[in-house]
Amino acid sequence: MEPSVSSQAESTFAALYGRYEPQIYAYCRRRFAAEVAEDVLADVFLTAWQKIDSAPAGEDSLRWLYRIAYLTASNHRRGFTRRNRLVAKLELTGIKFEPSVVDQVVVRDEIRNALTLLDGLRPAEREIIRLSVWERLSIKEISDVLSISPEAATQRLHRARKHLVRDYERKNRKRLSPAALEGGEW
Amino acid sequence: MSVEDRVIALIDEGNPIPDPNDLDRDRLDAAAYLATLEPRSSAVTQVDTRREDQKAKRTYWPWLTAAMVIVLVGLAVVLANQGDDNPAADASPEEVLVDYTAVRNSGDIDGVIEFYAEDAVVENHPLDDDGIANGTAEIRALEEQVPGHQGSGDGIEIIDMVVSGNTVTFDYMFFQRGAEADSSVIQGCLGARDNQVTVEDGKITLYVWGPDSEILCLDWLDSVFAPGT
Repeated sequence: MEPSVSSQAESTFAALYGRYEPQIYAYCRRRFAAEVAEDVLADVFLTAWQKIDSAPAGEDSLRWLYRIAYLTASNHRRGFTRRNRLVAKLELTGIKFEPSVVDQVVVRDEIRNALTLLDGLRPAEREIIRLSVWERLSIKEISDVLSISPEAATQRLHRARKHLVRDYERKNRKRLSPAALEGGEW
Repeated sequence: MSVEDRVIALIDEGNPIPDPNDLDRDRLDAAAYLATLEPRSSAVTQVDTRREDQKAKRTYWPWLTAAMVIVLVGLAVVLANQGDDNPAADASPEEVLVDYTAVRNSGDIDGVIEFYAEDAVVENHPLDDDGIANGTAEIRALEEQVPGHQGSGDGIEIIDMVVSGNTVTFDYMFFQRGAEADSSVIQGCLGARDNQVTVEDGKITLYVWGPDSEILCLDWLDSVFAPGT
């Protein structure tokens, strides 16, 4: 028998979970391997449950969940646990804890190259590109999720996009002609 | 299409989960998911227990670290009194970093600046909008804004170091305790990985702050441990 959803908190949580769980799962899955994504997802909704009294209403609630997901993912990567410290140590030696999204999806070469460029960005820039392109958030929404001003978000996104182009051109300077660049070949 | 737009379009195309609603996966409905969660009072107790664990850890290690720092600073003072103009010149890069961190945490801004070469460069400082500070005057202007220099009990703890030549790559956590608060209580933290310090002749010539230097931990802890939860 399914438990009843009785209290106000439970009904609020149930509405949030029922409506936005797929988006939050997708957020986690875009950043972590499947089994890790499930753990992060569980932590996101556990935190949401603990904080449900401060959940905003309406469309803002998805932004609120994204913010929790962002913090949870960040915390997950470098938290307090021995496991994460070990992970940090492994990463310093070149072993990546967070499987590259390039490794997770079977894609054609030009997409693989673009995702490799994305992986090569600094984490803050990588995240803002993901929020913009994959989660399709507006600058205002991104600034809320990252807790920075819209101006700072605009600047960071602009810088991230320029760095993508810089890295692309570094990688392809010797291999591609100007015509190929304009044509978008890799 | 510009290169920039082309790269962005390809990243968009490479979205591992283009449409969350198309995912074929089993998931609990809301009521069943709620049943897997502990009542909120228990959940909060669980979180508070974690905080107690952290407090217990952090009340022990700062004293041990402080004791080590006192020994190191004492050694440095002894060496300084032996007539050498720059005794730190013989210190290894990691020793310089450890000493530097201890002085940072003590709130001695002059001492902090002493560790830098006159023409040192600091990149990606979280309080620096421009991203680069050149020379000790600009570095001082930045460092004076750092809460850890206000004698508040705030401080950095290095959690990992890797030395390569005269460069140390390290991770750190910055714990905020606050001027008024019990120094054993962690109010918040931030952390950064892959910070790099280059040391030449005992002086820091380049300090590159690692990525993710935003106050993530602080926000995170605030979100979890806010009063009333």
